[in-house]
Amino acid sequence: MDNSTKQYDVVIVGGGWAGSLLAYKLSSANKKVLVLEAGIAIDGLITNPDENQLETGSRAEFMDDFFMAMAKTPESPYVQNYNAPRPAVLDIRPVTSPPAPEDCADPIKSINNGYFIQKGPIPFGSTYERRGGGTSWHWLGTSLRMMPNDFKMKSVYNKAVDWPLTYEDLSNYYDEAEFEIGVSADVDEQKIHGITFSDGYVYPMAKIPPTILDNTMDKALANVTFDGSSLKVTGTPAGRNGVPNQLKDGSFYDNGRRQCQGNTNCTPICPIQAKYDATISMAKALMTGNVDIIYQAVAFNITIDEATKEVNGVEYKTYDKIDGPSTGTFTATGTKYVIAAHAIEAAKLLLMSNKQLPNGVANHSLQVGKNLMDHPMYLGWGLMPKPVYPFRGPLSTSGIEGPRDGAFRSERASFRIEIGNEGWNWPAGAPYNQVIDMVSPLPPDKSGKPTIGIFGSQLRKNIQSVFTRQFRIGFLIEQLPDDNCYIVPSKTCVDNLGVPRPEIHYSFDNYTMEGFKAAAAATETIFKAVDADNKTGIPVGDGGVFTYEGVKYYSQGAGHVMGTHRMGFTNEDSVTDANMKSWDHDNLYLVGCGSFPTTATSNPTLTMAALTFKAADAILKSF
Amino acid sequence: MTLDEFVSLSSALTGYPASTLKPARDTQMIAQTLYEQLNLPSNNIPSAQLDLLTLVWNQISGTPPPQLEAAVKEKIIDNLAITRLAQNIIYLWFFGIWYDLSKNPASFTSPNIDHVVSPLAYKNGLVWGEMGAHPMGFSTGVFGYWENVPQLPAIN
Repeated sequence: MDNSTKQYDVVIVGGGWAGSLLAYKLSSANKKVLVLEAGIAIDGLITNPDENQLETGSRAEFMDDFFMAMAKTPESPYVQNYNAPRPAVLDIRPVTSPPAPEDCADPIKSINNGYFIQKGPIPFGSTYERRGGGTSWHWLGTSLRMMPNDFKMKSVYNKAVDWPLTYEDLSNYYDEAEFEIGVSADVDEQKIHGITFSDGYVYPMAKIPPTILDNTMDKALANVTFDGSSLKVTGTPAGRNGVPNQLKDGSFYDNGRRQCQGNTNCTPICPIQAKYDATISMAKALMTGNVDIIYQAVAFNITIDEATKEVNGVEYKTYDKIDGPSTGTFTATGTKYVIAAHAIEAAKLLLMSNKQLPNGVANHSLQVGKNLMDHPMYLGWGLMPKPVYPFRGPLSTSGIEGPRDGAFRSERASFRIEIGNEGWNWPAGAPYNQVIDMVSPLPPDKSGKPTIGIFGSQLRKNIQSVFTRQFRIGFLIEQLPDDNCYIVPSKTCVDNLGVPRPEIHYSFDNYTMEGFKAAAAATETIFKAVDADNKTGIPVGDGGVFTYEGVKYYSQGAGHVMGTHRMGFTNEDSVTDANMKSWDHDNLYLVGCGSFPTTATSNPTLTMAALTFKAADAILKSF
Repeated sequence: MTLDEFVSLSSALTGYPASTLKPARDTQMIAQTLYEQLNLPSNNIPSAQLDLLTLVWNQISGTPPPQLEAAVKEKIIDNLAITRLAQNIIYLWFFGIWYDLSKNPASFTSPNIDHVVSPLAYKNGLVWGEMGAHPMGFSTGVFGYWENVPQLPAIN
């Protein structure tokens, strides 16, 4: 599409989570919006249905790729795109010391061994998607609000920084985000650690019913504490469809999509779109007639008007095939610009745009790309004394939220505990690895020679006994902003379009490692209370290993990439203000989880969506 | 090995009745799909191994049901010349996966020729129903089914 002559009110880089929500809200207010999406289109999600899309993907195709994948990783349904690559499990392997020099001469071959340039010392464990809808394709659906103290880490616990806004400032935007996503939860159950709701507020849908595992844990843990925190089990707010509630205005919530069928597959893909994804908001945005979206358009440079210091264009490259050459370079122009390209890709783009500003765009503070954070996860797994029937229902329906806040936060990381409904699938490759252990156990010399296992009725009995009792819990551990954690564009490694790949420096400070230590101790407490046999060992994803006080821990990425263009109070301490507007460039906004000054412990999507609506309001008011 | 031999042997190896593996009114054609893996050249099955497994099975297949598992154990599972191929037949049915015969599936060595046979083979994997669940990504349940205790299939 040739848009070189068309003037837009807002140019958005990124057609994922934040970009789709923004496009919807801005276009609904009659703003003319252009979205540049680096990845390929989703079938039907295009500006002009008559236009011939170069490459597209559909849920049905993604499902078939998922079914055929030997390793059913979060990326397994989504083919790699060498012109807009994304990280995968291969990226998460121990970093050698000193790091081995990368062999990047052949971008496709090199990307097949991992997209990130991992400098460690700990490999960054999280991945994302670059295509229409972005990483919403494989989000879990968890839609927790942050707690009031999460916004005030400096003033309450003398750690890190405060957010330039409070829970109260965001509360209405949480309402708006929960409506758009379609969150199922119970208001009374969510009033923990000071979280409040407006009078008469109800979530769009009633809470998702708990699983048998949830109820088993709830019974055993109702009165158990760990380090002063209650381990009470509560339902997890979820962006998946349940039973509609009657809203304040008397109407019943209806988003036109079907109820969750319990496919136990939210990550990597919901087969029936009962779980919200950003293509839903993008479809509504396109229906306003105010949005143009260009796929296969990779932004690589932001240009600045020297006189006004405002952004005056976004340069992007196009391509026809996911492994083919660039087909041209174009410039998108508008009145306002938003970078909503994922925390890592957005920071990369700002830092790459250094022809006019040596430190990159929006980077007076030198904070762009810094403070890279995740919720590093500790997994504990075991066998229940009686069947709890996992592998049924959504991947997670309940959690333990008590340990998310407390006086201990001045000393160690807090965490929330997610209860998994997929047995040992994540930590131990269930059901495959355990069945293989039954049928053809690995010989002591680990060779390929045949061994003797069980079969027939004995195999069936063992499968019934083991797999009905498997369970796992996952700790989402807080991580503070840290100078040792940052992303820069690689000087040596590029993708197939010649765009630099992300070079990542990452580690855990003592605060986070103390959180891991506490998580391991809490696992013992919980497993004792539920009378489970603790089988926690080396997980199949063992790349994020580190040693603390002589003990080995294995961290997993949560996919919660935060902090790389944080908001704050001044142009010295942060990249944007509380409206996510660049301190340096009056018409530039940076939106997404990169805006988070600290991580808290809640899965960040809902807060990111609320922030996106806040930014949209600010953009609308700025015209 | 014929399709009928494959189905009767599969029944003995998996513990499922032949009528479950290959129903009279067969809409999914899973037995046929899995059986074809035995004849796929890229699976590199030594013909001597397949012939021996077929021969041994035909020798014991008439064993009365109460003694059949013992005979399978003695003549097939404990026979290192053919047990690995028999295990692969179990994996075909429980996972819809063919594992590289020359390696132990638990070793995760590469390269290998491990592969999922087809989306339908994955969705018909027996392991899921055995535990009272459904293949991940392929539920036929209704909203909230997960609150209730499932009925596990009976084992004879």
